[in-house]
Amino acid sequence: MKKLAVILSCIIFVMALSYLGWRSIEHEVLMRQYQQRTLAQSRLENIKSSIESLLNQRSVYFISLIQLLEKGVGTFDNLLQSQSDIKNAFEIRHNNIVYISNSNDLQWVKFVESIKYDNAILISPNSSNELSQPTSGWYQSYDHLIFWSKQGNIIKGFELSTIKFALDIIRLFEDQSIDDNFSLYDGSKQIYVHGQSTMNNINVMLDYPLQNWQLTYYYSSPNFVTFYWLGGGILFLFIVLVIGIVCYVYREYTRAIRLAKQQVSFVGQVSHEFKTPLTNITLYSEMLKEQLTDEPFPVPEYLDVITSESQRLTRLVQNVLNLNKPAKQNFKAVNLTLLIERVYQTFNPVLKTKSLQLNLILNSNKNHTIFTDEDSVMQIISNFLSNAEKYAVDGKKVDLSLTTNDKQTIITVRDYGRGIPKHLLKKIFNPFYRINSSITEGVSGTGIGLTIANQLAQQLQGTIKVTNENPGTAFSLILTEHVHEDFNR
Amino acid sequence: MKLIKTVLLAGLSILSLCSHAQVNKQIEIRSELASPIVMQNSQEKNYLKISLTGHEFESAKRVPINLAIVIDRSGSMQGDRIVKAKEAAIFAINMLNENDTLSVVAYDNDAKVIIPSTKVNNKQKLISLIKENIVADGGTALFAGLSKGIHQVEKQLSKDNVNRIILLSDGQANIGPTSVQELSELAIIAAKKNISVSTFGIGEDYNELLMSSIASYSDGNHVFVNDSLDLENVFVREFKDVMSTVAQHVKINIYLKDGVKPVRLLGRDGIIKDNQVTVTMNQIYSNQEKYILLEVEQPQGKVGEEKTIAEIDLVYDNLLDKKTQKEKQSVKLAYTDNPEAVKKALRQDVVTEIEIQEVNENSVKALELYNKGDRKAAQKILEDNSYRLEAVADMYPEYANRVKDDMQWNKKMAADAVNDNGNEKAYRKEMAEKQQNTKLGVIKK
Repeated sequence: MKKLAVILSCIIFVMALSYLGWRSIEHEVLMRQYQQRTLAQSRLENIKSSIESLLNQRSVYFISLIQLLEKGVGTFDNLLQSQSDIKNAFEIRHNNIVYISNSNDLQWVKFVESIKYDNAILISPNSSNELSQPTSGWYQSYDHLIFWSKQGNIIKGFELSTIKFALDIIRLFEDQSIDDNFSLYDGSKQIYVHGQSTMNNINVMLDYPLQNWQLTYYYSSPNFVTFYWLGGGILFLFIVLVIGIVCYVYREYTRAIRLAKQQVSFVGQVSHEFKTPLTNITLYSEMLKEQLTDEPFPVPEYLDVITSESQRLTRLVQNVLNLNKPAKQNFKAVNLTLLIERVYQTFNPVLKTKSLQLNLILNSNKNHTIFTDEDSVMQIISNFLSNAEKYAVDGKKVDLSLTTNDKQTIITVRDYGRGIPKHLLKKIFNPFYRINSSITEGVSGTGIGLTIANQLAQQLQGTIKVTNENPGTAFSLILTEHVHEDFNR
Repeated sequence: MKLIKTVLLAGLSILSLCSHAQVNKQIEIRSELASPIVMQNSQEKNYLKISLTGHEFESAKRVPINLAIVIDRSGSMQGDRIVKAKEAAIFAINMLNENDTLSVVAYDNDAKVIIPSTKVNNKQKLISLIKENIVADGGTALFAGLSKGIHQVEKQLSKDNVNRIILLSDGQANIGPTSVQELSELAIIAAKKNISVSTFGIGEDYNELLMSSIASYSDGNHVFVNDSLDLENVFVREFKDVMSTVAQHVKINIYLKDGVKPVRLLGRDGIIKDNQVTVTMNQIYSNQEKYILLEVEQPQGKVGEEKTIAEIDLVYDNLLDKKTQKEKQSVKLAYTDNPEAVKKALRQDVVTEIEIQEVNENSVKALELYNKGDRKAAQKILEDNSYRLEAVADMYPEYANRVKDDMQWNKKMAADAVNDNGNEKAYRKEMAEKQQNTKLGVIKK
C-alpha cells in the first residue's frame, strides 16, 4: 500500500513538474516573440520618423526658398534650374495663375487650376485643428506632391520631385548602415529595399502627405525549435534527476528495512540449524540423568547443569524462531483465572530458588473467561515473570495480579527491583536490545523476549504497558473484552 | 557708289566672318551663324551654332577622375556577361591611379555598394572585392543602383575632378521606379550635380530607350555592346574620353535680341524661355568639339545694316587651370542685297552639321515606323537620308569626310530595315545608339 502511494505521489509530482516546466518554456518563447515584435515595432517607428523628418526638412527648405523669392532674390526659373528637389512650381495671385512651370504638361496645368478654383482643398486634408489656419503645408493629389505657402491672396507652390526624394531616402539609409531589413513601397512601386525580406513582418503606412507609402519591417524570429528542444531536454534531465533522487532515497530506506529483515532471518536460519543438535543434547542429557540417578556427588549435579542449560538454550532458540514466524493462533474461550493460577503454580518454585516471593492477586470473579489464545497469554506472562526473575532479584518479591473491569482484562507482573530509566521504557521492546547496566551484565539474555511478547500481544489485539512503580516496575498485559457468539452461548 | 558698296560689303563680310572666336590655349569657343549675311528681306531660317573645342594637352597632367561603376548582376547576366563585366571593372581599376577615386555598386534585387568611394591605392584589394562580390542572380533594381552610384560619386564630388558614372545593364529595370520618365529625372538630378552617366547596354534585351535617355539627360555616352567581348574596348574608349577632359560644367546662355525669335534647338536639348536659351554640357574633351544648334527666326533689316542678334554668356570650369572661366560673345547679322555675298559668307561647316542633325531627326521617325511594323516606310526615310548626305558631300567637298560615315550608315540601316533575316532587337539598339550619339553634337578632331 505504502509503495503504491509513494509511486502514485511520485508520478503526480513528475507530471506537475513537467507541466510547469513546459509552461515556463512556452512562456519564455512567447516573451521572446513579444520582445522581438516590440523591438521590430520600435525600429519601424524609427525608420518611419526618419523618412518623415526628411520630408519635414524639405518643407523647411522650401519655406526658405519662398522667402528668397519674396525678397526678390532669385526667380522661379532660377530655382527650377538649380534645385533638383523642385520638379514644378506655380504662383497664384487673386485666383489667377501668374506663373506655372512646364505649361505643356496638361495634367499639371489642370492640377494647378483646380487649386486656383478652390484654395480650400489645400487645407482640408491636413487640418486637425479647425481654429488655426495654416499658412503653408503639403498637399498630395494623384501623382503630385506639392508644398504650398499662402500669404493673403498669394499662393506659391513647389512640386517635390519624388525621384529626388527617393534618392535622398536611399542616401539616408545607405549612410546609416543599419542592420534592419525593411522595404518602402508606393502602392506597388518599390521605392527602397534594405536587406532581406523574411516571413515575419509588420507594416505601417506613413502619415500624410505620404499616406500611400507603405513601410514594411522584416524580422526573423530566433529558432524556437532548438529552444523547445533545449528547454525540453533540460526539463527532462531535471525530472530524471528528481526521479533518481527519489529512487535512491527510497532504496536507502528499504535497504535499512531489508538489512534488519536480513539480520533477523539470518539469526532465524542459524537458530534453526541449532535446533536439531540441541534436541539431541537435551534428550541424551536427560536420558543420562535417568541412568545415573544413583551416582554420588557431583555427577547428578553436573548432569543437572548440563540438562538445564541445554534446556535453556533450546528455549532461547525457540524464542528466536518464534520471533520470525508469527505463531499460529488458536482463539477460544479461556478461563484466565485458572490460567493465572497455573502460572503461579509453575513459577512459584522457580522464583523461590532465587529467594523471590511470588504473590498472587485476583481482582476478578472466580472464572473470568475471555475469548483469546491461551498459549500466547501464557507466553507473555511467562516472559514477564522470567524477566522479573532475572533482573529484579533485589526486590525480594513479585506480584502477579489479574484485574478485570467492564471493558478490559489486565494481567500485571510487578517487581520491586531497581526499575527502568524512563527514557528506555520504549526501547526495551526493540529486538535484541538489552539495557546496559550492572543488572544485565552478569545475566544472560537475548533481548528478544519483550519483542516477542509485544508481537503476541498485538496478535491478541491487546497491548503491553510498562510503568515505573516506586520501587520496581510493572508490566501489564491489557486485553479488551471480545463479545463473541461462542462465549455468549 | 558701287565701289563703296563693294568695299563696304567686303569689309562687312570680313567683319562678320570674324564672328567671335576666342582662341584659348585649351578651349576654343566659337559662335557663328550659318548665314552671317542675309538678303534684306529674307524670310529664311537661320541657325546659330555655338561650339567648344578642346585642344591637345599632355596626358601626364590629366585631371583626376571620380568614377562610380554601377553593374547589373541580375540573373540574366549569368555566364559570359558577368565575367566580362568583372574583367572590364578590373581593367578600369588598373587604368586608374592613386589620384583617382573609384566606387563600385552592384544591383540585382537590391543595390549594394561593393567598393565605397575610395582612392585607388590598394588595387589588389579592390580587385578581390570585385571578384568575390559580383555574382549574377536576381532582378534588376536599376534605380537603386544608379542612386547609390550617384551618392558614392557625390562623396568626393569636386570641381577639380571629372565626375562620372558608368552604368552597365543587360535588361529591363523591373524593381523600383522603372519608367523612362522617372529614370530620366534621376539622370537630370545627376547632371545638376555635375555627374555624367554613361550607359553601356549589353546584349539585345536591354531597354534602349531607357539607357539612351539616361545618357542623354546627363550628357554621358551611350554604347550598344552587342558582344560582351567588346566590353573591354568600350571601357577603353570611355576612359580615353574621361581622361582627356579639359573642361566641365559648361553653361551657355543665349540672349536673343529684339526681333529675334528662337524656334528650336537641333540635336542637343536645352531650355527655351521667351528670348533666352540655356544649354548645359557636362564635359569637353580634348581633340573634340561639342556644339549646339539653335534655329532662329531672324528680323528683317536694311541693306548694309548690321545687327547684334544674340549675346552669349558662357561659364565653365577649366580643369587644367583649375578655375571657373566666364566668357561673353556676341553674334552679328548683316544684310545685303547681293546673293553672291550671301552664298560666299555661308558657313559650310554649320550647314553640314544642320544636315546631319536633321537627318538624325528623320532616323528617329524611321525607327518609330519600324517599331510600328511599317518597315518599307522606314527604309525609304533612311535611303532619303543617305541621298541627302550624299548631296551635302557633293556641295561641300571640304566636309565630305564628315558626312561619309553617316551616309554609309544610313544606307546600311535602310537595307537592314527590310531584311527578313535581320535581328529586330539589335537593329533597334543600333538605331538608338547612333541617334543618341549624333544628338550630342560631337565632332572628333
